[in-house]
Amino acid sequence: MSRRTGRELFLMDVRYSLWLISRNKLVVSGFVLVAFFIFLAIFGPLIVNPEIAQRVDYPNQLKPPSWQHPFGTDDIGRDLLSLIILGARYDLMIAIVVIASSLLIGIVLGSISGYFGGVIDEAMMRITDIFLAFPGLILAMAIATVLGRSFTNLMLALIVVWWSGYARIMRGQVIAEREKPYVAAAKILSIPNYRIIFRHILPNAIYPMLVVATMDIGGAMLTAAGLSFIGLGPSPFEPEWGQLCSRGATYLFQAPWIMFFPGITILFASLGFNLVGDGLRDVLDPRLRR
Amino acid sequence: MIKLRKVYFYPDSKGNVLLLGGVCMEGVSKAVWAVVAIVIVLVVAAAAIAMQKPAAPTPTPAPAPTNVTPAPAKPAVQNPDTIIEETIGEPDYLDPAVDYETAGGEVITNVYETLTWYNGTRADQIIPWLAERYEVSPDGMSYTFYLRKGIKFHDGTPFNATAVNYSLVRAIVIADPDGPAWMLGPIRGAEELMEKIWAGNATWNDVKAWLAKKPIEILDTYTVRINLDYPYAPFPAVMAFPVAAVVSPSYVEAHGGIELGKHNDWMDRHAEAGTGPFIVKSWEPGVITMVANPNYWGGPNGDIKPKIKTVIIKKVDDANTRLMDLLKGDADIVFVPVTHIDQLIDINKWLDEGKIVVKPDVADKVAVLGPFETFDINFIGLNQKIYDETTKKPVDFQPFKDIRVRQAFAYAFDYKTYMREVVKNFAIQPNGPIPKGMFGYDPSIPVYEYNLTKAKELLLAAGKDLGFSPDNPKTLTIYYNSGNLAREKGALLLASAINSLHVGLIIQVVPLDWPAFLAKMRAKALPIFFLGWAPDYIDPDDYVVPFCHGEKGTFPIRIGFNDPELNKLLDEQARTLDPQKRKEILRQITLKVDEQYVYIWLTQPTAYQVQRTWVKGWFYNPAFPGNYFATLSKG
Amino acid sequence: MKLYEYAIRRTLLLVPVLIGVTILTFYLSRIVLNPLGAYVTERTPPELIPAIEKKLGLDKPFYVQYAYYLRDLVTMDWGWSKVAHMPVLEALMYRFPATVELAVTAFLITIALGIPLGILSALKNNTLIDHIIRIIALTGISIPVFWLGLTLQYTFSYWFKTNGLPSLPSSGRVDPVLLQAHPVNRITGLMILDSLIQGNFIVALDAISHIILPSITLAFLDIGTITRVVRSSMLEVLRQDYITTARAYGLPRRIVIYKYALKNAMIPVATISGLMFGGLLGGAVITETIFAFPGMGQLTVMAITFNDSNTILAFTVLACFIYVFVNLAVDIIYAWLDPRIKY
Repeated sequence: MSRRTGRELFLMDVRYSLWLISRNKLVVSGFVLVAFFIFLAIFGPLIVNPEIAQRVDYPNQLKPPSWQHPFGTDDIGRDLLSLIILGARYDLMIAIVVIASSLLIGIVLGSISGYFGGVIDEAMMRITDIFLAFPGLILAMAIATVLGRSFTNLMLALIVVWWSGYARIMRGQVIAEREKPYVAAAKILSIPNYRIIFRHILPNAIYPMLVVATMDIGGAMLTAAGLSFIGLGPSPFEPEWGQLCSRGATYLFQAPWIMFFPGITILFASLGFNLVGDGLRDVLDPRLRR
Repeated sequence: MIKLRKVYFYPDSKGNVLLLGGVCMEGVSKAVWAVVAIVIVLVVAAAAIAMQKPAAPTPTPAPAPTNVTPAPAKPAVQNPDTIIEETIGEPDYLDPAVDYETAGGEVITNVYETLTWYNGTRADQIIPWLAERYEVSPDGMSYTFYLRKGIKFHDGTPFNATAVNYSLVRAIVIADPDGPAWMLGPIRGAEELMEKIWAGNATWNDVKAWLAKKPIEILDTYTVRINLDYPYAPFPAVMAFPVAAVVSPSYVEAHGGIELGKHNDWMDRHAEAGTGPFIVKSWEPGVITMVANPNYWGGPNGDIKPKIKTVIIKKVDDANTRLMDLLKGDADIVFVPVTHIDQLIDINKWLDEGKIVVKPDVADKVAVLGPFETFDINFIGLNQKIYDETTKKPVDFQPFKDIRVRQAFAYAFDYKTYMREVVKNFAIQPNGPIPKGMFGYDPSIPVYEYNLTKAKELLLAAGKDLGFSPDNPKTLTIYYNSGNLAREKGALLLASAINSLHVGLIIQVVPLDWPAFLAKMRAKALPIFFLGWAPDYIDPDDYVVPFCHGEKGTFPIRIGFNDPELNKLLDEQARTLDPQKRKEILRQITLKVDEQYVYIWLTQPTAYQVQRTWVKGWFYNPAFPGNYFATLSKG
Repeated sequence: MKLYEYAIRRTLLLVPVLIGVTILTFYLSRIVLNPLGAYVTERTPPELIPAIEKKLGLDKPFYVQYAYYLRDLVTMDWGWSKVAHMPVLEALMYRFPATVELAVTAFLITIALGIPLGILSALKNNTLIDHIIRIIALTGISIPVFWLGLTLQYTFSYWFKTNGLPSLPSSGRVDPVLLQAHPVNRITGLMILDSLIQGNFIVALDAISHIILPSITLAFLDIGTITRVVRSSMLEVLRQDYITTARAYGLPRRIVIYKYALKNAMIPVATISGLMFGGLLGGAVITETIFAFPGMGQLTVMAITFNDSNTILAFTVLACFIYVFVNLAVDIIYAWLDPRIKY
């Protein structure tokens, strides 16, 4: 009987997961979408010259889609397609940064709370209860308004809203793992607590979080765009997608493309992440494996 | 479909079966199929429609009738007794003593009246209104008003000299610093009292002392004399402004009376104590309903009788909604911004020939009246002494102290493009603080030019002395009040132009909500700002002083501009009675302020009125804050 | 313990949470924001400022200020709203029924469409219908609210109208002229209900036509979620042994599904319906703005534009309290319905 190292087993696992993913066409298209938008986000300013795209060109305003301007122009005369490409940076960045940060904070706080239990746990539960008592969009709205309208403030507001959910999930996972024999074994071996948490419990507890996080990226993008739409995002001239939709709403009947195309872009970006998340969940569901 | 059954199996989490009661949902599958079918039908229909969506969705005009004189079928008048106006904005207050904006002003002008008023469409003719006639003393310091008899307030009490005295005193004692009370300053002792109230240390004794000076004398039931601190030629025009409107004393006393330095909350939100043709029946959020005053006295010729029973003024922020409501007949008068006017008129005919021609497919429903000259001026302010809002100290970088920079900015603005593309030619370019059509306007004075090369030259040269260059760029911010699209676009145009010159100045554009904008302006913290000025009373004094007087002017204080010679000229023109002489002085003033490039004059807007064809009797007066409904009828 | 004891216990447990909520909003409104800003303009001479500070109690320590804040909240003095020109609470309460009407209608649509779709999807697992529904659901959770609302508005109000088709109104809650001609007394504040109660079918129909587009927009947010939850829950339940047992007993498939599986599958739906409500409140903010629906959300967005923090924070507190109590109600009802919950 050949024995494989833990590392080899892990890699086999990953390869198997990837194979499962590739069998599902929907998920693959999700990955393609995500890759596409990330590419746009990183290389956007190289594809489209920001200065030219943002230039004021009033005689060209409100032109419908044509060969020159596949998505039409907005009320300042800017080409909408270029703006959408440039805008990818904002929405993707905000979604990924927000989820990553909240994930980090949530994991750390949730693990500590779940592992040590007692007063710390009770306190953490109460605190997260408070934050979870607010409907998400509304709390983000209040924080963003109070801090002032800007891109970074929007990110902060969303992080404040999102972290508590992750903390709770992580806590639940850690509590479930905590009772397992390998933890007791580690304790007997006098492995320090933090090591137990981060090297042993964490890898087991983290899978459900990843699924939730991936799907949440889409949700964060939608929430950010929504807040930007009502006026809490970056300045009204930045090509952020929610902002573009907001400008487009004024001209809805005359020039519906200004609202339509940025919005549908948000849809596809969010859809991409959601497909990936869905796929991940199916893949990581132990009952569907093997 | 939902039936109760008796008892069934019910598993718990371990799979053990318990027995319990419950509800059955028979027939759910039929419901499911029905719902799915409906959804599919909707989706298919939507897809079918979406595929036919035209690329440029403007309403295709109906083919023109082939006979020579087309007779469009007139749509039947909807709601013949009601006029509905849809506009942006809602009044701040309905109290004439404190309201100082156009939305409230519109309502107030229909409900309350003043001793003098404008003659029909003429903004330059003041005639006695609630007063039968008035006399000016030879030294110009006393005005005696002989009031009309037999006029009653909406609450039935009589209009008389006591009421006039009460109303004017009330406005001065409330002394809202953000309101129009300052205009009553020339009245004897009023300015002094109001300044005390603004400083926060006035008492009723001060008011009594002021009243003892006899600023307003009740000579008899229908005669009142107002005494001034100094001769003030525009005074009859001031008395035509809503701040001098006459309110019913008994009504006010029954609803909170007069408080020193504070609003009367009831009067802020109700308007049923005037003499005017309409009474406000209710003010729900976003909707004001007015009803006709059946006992209206009829105006100076006795011929004004409101023919409409109800007026509804709705606040509708979305321009598209207002347009749709107009076309549907659900609204009679709507505010259409220049960005959307091309849906109603042939914009090319207007841009090329200057004619307002309504599109044929809506011509039977919609009338666009105009163009009308307004006396508003939109301008760009260049702050020569920028302060930091928090430290209250001047900042280090003061580019606009250098006349070359100011001149360069004036050269950098593409006036023609702005006029044509942003404002759609619904404006003319002013050549100074005095608008066209007002006494003192001189057409021979040139407007600012657009010349990017000169702008670049000037900025490069100035940059050397001020310390900015392409390698060492500095940032400046243009502020405007958010929501104002014309100003936003102007700001973007200017910013874009200067940024494209690459001289080391980077311009950002930032919107601020109105209160924040005002606050920053008062703190002298706005480097560049877009703003507009509308007349309080029709006299060039109301323009040149606020713009040019270094000590008294609203704006020069905010932008650190003070030219003593100019101040002298300004004081002189206020006192000069000979029109020719005054004109010459005003010309000098305009030339002087223009050559220093203190402001960039942007537009003097041209107005138009959009209403249904069945609305009759409307007329334009540039001094009116809104629509005057008393002469309107539908049919 | 009995149900009411459980209810009371749960309610008491809420109190620390609610207090925490007020602490957070207090922090936001008084500490982060400068409260002086609402009362002091630059015209105020500097000597007056200490007096104003004293009046507002700003010279006192934090816990005292918090006590004042709490007292204000409880005595319904929630401050003055800049955008509504009236006390904040009055403004919110006036608009409260409109938002409720919209949220409830959207909720009903969500359930009416989402649950059957989820069931169908689970029953026809891995068939074409299942895939279509899954895609619809996935799209549903990826759609931006404002885009959907604007697109619906454009299509059904403008495009239909300009192409001669019967169209829906693009904004508002009811036609004011119609309302003037056929007045409705304000009983519950819910326009549709009030007009139906009074037999005023003209206004009822008009109100319904106004609420269709906004409620569909709102509903779409959560249809996806509900469909997916119902689907996965249903699949889970169908896998259980007792279902196989029931089938083995020879019970027809339909009865097995609808009598046994469905009820258990609905349990997670009850759980998330509380959460969904929070999403509805948030989504209502955007939807009301797009359709000019005169609810609390529209007021809040106006408050954002005009930087009226009083209104925004008051709305936050109110929305929070509503959300918490709705969840509490859902939990209690759920505990009552599901015998497995030990209370």
